[in-house]
Amino acid sequence: MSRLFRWQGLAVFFAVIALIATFVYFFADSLVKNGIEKSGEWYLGAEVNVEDVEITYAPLTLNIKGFQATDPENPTHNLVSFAQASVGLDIWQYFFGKIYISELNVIELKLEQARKSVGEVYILADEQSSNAQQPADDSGLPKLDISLPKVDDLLKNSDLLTVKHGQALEQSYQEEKKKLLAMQKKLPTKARLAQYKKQITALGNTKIKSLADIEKLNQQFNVLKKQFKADKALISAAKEQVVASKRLLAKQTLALKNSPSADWKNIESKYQLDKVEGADFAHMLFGEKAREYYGYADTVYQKIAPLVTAAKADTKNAADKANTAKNKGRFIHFTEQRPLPDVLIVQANFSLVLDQGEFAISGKELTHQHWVRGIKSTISVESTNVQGSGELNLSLDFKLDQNKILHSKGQWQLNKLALAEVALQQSSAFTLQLDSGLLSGNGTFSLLDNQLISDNELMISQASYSGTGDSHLSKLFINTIRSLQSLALNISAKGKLTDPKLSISSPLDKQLKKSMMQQVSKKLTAFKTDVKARLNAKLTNALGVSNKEGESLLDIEGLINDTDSTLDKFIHSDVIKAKKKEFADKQKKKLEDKLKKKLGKLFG
Amino acid sequence: MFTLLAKLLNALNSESSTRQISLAIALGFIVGLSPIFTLHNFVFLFVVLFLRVNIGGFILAWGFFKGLSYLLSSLIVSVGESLLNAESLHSLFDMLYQFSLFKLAHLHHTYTLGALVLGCILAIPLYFVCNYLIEKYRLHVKAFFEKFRIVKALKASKFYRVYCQVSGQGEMS
Repeated sequence: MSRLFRWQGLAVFFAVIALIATFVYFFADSLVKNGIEKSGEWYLGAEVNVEDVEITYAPLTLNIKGFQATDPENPTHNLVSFAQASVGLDIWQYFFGKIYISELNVIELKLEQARKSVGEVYILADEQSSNAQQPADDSGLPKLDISLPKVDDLLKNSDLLTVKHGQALEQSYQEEKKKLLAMQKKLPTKARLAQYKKQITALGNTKIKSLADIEKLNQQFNVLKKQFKADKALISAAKEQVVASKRLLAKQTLALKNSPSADWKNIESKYQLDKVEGADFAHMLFGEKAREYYGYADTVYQKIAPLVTAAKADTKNAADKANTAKNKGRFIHFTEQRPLPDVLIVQANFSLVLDQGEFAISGKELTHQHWVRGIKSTISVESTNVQGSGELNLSLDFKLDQNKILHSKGQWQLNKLALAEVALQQSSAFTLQLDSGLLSGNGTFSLLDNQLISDNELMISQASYSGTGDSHLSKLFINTIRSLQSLALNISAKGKLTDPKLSISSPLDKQLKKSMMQQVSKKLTAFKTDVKARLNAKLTNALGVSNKEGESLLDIEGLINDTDSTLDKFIHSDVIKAKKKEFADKQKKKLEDKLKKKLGKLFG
Repeated sequence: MFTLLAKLLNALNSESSTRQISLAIALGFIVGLSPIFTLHNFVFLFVVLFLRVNIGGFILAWGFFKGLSYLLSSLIVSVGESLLNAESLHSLFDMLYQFSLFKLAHLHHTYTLGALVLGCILAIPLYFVCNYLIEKYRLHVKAFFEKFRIVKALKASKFYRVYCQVSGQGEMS
């Protein structure tokens, strides 16, 4: 037997095993402590400290005391820290390559707490975060922050259309009048027309003795006709000028008549008088705060998101994995009677301590492979001292499907949350603060992949506000808000989780508009009436001037028409025809007399 | 390293059983092909320590075949793949998968199973080939080589001194 077996070899084997077991038993605590610190530092890129680790073996439980993880973006603070944590780990599953934690308890979990000494940072933080937060601009209410102008100053403004169009019309009248007067000077005068008449009458009185006299008369009349036609051409040109002038002046008069209403619209727009009606007051006041509070949720998501995206990246890199499997191999899984995901925390309890209060967070079935057991992860958050007396209940469930798409839905309820000194507006000329109030509300949310749909209702009661404003409108606004004891808000968020579209609506909008309109309408109506009356006076004045000028234009037009008709009469005068007829009749009578004499002698 | 090599040569030249040396090489081959921290490697280590096999030969064979395993990795994985994906063996693996020991040994991993199966199958012919070669060495090669001047020169080297110390010849001379 001894030729075949080496008994001392057996002793060596068990001695080595025992040595390893002893080493693990005595040094496991510090090995795990170092493991947590090093792996935490590798993941975060900043110093991680663990005060002490204690391992108990039946059942295997890890007790971690004094955990601190430095915030790489703010090394004077911890990203997360806790006083104590106990982790009940199934070591058997760990040897199978799975992390199965039956119970995880974390006590006094704190976020962004100041460190005793500055933590070391190994990887510089992304610079992206530096541009993420831009200071809020003075949008919204400050636009309204303009007092009403004086009517006199307003009407002196040369940009007013009524003034502009009035001046343009007056100028056009002058120019057109000048043109017509110039034309008028070229037209035949009354004396000339009388001369023409005299000449035609003289032609009519001419005695015709022979055909040669008629021809001579005709020639004289043709000379006169040429003059008439030349004058007629001048009159036609004058008539065309009159039509053009009338068209231009009619157009400008219409523009002038429409000017007062256009001017009022411009005044309304310039001095934001129309904005009071359409202003989105709820969004102006609470939009920034809603974004700020949403930012907290987004920060939490940003810490979790890499885990989800890493899971997605795993799917995308399936081809690479297959390639690696050719050389390094892969696990092939078979049907298990009790399948387990790679990482599973059956029950987790956290007591989170924040400046806002203490929160009891519990989670069940926490994993990233929900399809293995077909059970969703659930999380609930409860607190009875949010900012003193607020009561919060939040419950949500989530699951990742085999395509690594995140499905989640949840609801929350908040009661009696005391609000104090919440700055709502801090613009250069307008500040508004909620001094005290009680907030309550409830809401639901659902998430599919990274698309969020959330509806929330909030009610602020027993509210008191304070604020200062420079202008009349902003003072009115503050007074209106101060008169409100309670207000309701509906906030909905829709779209990409990292950048959702927030929509805030409230009966406050109607209340504010009504109150504001009531308070401003009196002044606004007086202002409107005054401005409109003054604009109409300007219009009447401008039109009065134009009427006077119009009458003189009509005189010129009448004169042109009279001259035209006189010349027409002259051109179509029948003096030659009459003379021809007279001569013919005379010759006829002469022949008759001559014939009678000859016949009398014959039959006499 | 010199010491280990000298021990092997000493074993080859000594009166140690050829079977002990061949078994050491065959076991070193199985362990060398497999990933280091596997359950079956602990079993083989136990066997090596418990049975009278040449430990120097085992360690050298382990190191040599560990290097060779990188060249054979795709062959090892394909053996594991074909076994674990074989329809006829599916029910067998399905049953084995319910045992924690099977999963603890990572025998559902293509490389581990392939290395174990390939190692165990090839270890048998390797054992016999080594047996044959060691016998031939002892009969012909050793005497033949000792005639050469280069061997005589080597005997004057540091390596030979180590070899002599290991085999106890140095003390005698």
